[in-house]
Amino acid sequence: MAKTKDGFTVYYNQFKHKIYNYFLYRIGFDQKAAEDLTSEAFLKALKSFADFDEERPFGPWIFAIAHNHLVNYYKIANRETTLTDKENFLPQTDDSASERLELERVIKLIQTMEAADREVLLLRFVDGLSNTEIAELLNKEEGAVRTQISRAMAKLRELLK
Amino acid sequence: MDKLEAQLNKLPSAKLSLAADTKIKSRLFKAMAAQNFNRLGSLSWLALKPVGRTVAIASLAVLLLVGTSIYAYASGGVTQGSALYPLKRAVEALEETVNLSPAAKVKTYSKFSERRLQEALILSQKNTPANEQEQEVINEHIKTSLDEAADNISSVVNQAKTGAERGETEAIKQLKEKNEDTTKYLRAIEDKAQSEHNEEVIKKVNEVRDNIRQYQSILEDKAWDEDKPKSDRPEVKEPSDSKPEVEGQKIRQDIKSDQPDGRRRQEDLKAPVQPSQATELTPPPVSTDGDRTNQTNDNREDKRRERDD
Repeated sequence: MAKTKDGFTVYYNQFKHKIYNYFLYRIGFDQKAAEDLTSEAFLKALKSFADFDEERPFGPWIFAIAHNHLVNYYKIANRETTLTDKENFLPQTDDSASERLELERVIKLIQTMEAADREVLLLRFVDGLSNTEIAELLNKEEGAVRTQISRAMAKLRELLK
Repeated sequence: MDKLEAQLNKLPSAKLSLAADTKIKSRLFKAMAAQNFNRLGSLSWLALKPVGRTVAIASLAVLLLVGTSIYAYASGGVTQGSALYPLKRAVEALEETVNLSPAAKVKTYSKFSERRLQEALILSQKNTPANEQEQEVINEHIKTSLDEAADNISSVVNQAKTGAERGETEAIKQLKEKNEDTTKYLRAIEDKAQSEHNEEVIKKVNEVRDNIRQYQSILEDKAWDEDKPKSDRPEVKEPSDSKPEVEGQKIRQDIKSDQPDGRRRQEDLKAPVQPSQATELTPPPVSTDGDRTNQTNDNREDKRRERDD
């Protein structure tokens, strides 16, 4: 795809929901804040778009920008996110009420996990990134990512018991 | 795959709301426009040259900028994909901020919605692109234009309601004047999309059409007659999909009208085209095979009736 402003618009349309979803799951499902962060991340991406290597996929690049932006978001305001007092926070689905409750329980437990475990689980199952993409994003070996996901799953299984 | 993995795979994905999406796009367009201006600003080293030359160059730059802005703003042919498009949107953003009354806003948003539809039509009538990627880019632009048109139409309706509630019938008058071309553009885009079996664009067209029906609910409300005293006017109805009972409503007729021979449609398409855009806004290609054309038109009308029902 040609690296033009139009190309950027196409990328935006392709990734807007994914990036919004990325923020939403990491800031306690605060929709307004997630929208603002999505906007800011894409503005940052636009500013750096001239440096984007068009030979490489756009996905890992925009996720890396979103990741750095999220780190700054927490760092600057020293924010903390908790879901313990929230109910019915998940986006709408066709699942039954009991399934939704179960999913909410899983998410709440994921939120209590260590940051590294939490991040790989969210990247893998919420953002739908492959192990290779996660490895690139977190600057790790693919094998290490696979192991970490496996360990995080085992920990989550324990928590769910 | 065990139960936990299946559960994790079922975690729902949220989507950005249309309002947030439009807001972000607007910010991005403004940023793009600012980047273009900054690029011009990077020529400031010329200020180090002799004064006369600097003044001449600066004047020329200003003239070029103003001229380019006016051209970008006024030209229907400047669509997404054009280098001047961010400039056009920047001028529009300025126009949006200076219009304060509901009537002025109705006029402005109507104009914007028409422009987005006009841009979508021009994009859809571009010759077949060289490759799939190019086609994908154009398709995305068409969908974005239609999204923005739908959003502008919602703003038109909201402003018209606000104006009507304040007894400013000028807002409703503006609404009446600004709806015919909208449906003509929309129909042309839909015809083109149907001929190309472009389901995504057809879906977007239907979304725009749903918003246009909100026009209808306001225009049908004869209680907003200007001759009636303000106190006699009821509250404006919420948009509804109920069928109109009042005759002579232009928009509904345009949306639903049966046109078996396609001839009137071609005339409709030509009507809104400005002289400067005449070469670009040609009607969608029509087959020279009479029987086949009539059959295609009949099929389209059948589909349109099914959908409207």
